[in-house]
Amino acid sequence: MTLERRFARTLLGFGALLLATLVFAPIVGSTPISLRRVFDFSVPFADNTDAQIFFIARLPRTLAGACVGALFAAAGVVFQGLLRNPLATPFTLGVSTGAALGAVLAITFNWSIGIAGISAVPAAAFAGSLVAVAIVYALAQARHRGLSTTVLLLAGVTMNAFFSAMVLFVQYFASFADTYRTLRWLMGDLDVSSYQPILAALPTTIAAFAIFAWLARPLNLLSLGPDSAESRGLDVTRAQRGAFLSASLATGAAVSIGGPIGFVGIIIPHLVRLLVGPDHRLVLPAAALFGAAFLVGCDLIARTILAPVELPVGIITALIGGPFFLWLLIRRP
Amino acid sequence: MLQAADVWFGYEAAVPVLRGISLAVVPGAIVGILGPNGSGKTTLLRLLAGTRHPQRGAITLNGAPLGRFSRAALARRMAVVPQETHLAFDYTVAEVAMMGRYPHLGAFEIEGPSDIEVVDEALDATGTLPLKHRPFATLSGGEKQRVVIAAALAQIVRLPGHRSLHEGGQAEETDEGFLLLDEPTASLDLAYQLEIAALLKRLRDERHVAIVISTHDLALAATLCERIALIRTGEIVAEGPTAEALTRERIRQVYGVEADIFTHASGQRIIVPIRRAPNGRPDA
Repeated sequence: MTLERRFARTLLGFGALLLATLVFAPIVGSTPISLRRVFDFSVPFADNTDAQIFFIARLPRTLAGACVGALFAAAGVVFQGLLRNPLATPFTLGVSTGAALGAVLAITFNWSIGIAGISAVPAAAFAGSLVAVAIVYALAQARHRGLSTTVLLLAGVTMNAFFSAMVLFVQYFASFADTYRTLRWLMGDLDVSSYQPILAALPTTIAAFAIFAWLARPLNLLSLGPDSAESRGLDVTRAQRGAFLSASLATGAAVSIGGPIGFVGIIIPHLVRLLVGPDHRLVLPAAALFGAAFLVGCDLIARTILAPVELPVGIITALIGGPFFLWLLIRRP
Repeated sequence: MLQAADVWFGYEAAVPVLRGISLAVVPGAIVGILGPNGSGKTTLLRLLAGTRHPQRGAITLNGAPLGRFSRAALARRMAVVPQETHLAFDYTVAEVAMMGRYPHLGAFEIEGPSDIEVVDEALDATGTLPLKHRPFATLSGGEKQRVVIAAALAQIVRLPGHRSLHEGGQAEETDEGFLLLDEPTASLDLAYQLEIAALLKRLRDERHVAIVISTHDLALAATLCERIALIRTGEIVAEGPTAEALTRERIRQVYGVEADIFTHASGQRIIVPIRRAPNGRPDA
């Protein structure tokens, strides 16, 4: 089968899955709503509770889940291709926690000045992830043979511990209410209650996906190792920088919306590779679509399983992802 | 013609790895770069491939310094086969070979029927076409090496009317491309070594591809290469037709080993290492 046909089939398949979850998720919840009443525009919005629940609570939450899932899954693919290691993800490398530190700083100290049209929280989250990624990059450069799984995971543990400690330190400056809010957010929570965080992260999201589209083929070549990729005509340094930059942008955007939700970046790329093969031109779009559908699905479970209590979605992804990660670790030689 | 003229290079400026290397590879030639471990063979190959640049001297392709070519333009004329290839993910043989077409496609261009034809031909030429749909990781060492050679072959095929012929050409396109192989048989069994040597010879005869091999395998060099360059600690000790350059004295000088050289009934030259030279060190 030609690549065009495989590409079309992949987009259609995973796109249909995402569409189904996007339609289904906002309808379901602890309070039953009727779609007919939601779109009954004869009733004023202020009196239409169904429409309020749909448009103010559930739709933004669903869209947030889709954005965050797509970003984390695609960032996972990029980190794995770049570091040539299927266990590299924004979460395991400590990049999510770095982004979280940036975001927590912005939230706690109420930074409101944006940079270049990007508002403060996503910008700070991006800065945090960029710092973490710079450390990973320096580490990878220092080791000519690339990062072994051991070094990679140890570095991730160290970075996570360090950035978590910094987050706790910042918490000392926060009021009790703020602390509760950030703690819940740190567990990974999609309860955004407005479109504002999604819109604020939109510019970085678009930039990240634009670079991802260009990266797909270079990532294929990087699987051969940097020397072979270079002799095939790839500008390796530029590809690596593009990958680090875009993965930081994506992690920053995702964390600014939903907090450092773990394991999406490892489960999804792995499943997608089993389904469509390792070609990044298929893996990247498929992971983005599947990641979006997956996180929306997880969030649906999170807010219905103990209804009316709504759990942070990070708990659900950890429950699925933890055992999955261990299984991968055991299975790998 | 691929030519190095008085090339100096060091990964650290104070420690030259290559010291004044001059070497010419004419189209259709098979040239061996011989020397003991750490003599600078792999480094020289990297410079010839244009992935590293000389600190002094120049490497030219058809008269133009390599630095004047874009990375892709260079990759369309020269392909490198490393000693071993480990992939991070489970690509199929066809996908690995198709990676050779990278420098022929634009940033968002998808490989067309002509690229698929080139790849199939290259796989066929290396006898790996039946393995096309197998995962690369499941192949034997010899099969892997043949697939990587197929990818390299696919890389240097320039199609008429294709973009590769219209751009990046300060140099005249008189050559059929260069394959640079770094210790291609070092990690292979005897049978695979012979197989790869026969394959390379056939590729040169049928496709007029020029081949440069770095190796410390004297037997391989003696049977396969028409010309050799013996290098030791970054300097060329001898360069010329294999029969003239590869002598007992040179072997002792470069490897520190006493050896006898015979001509076998098949016409092949046989090198038999006898013992370490007195004093035990090269050129002592």
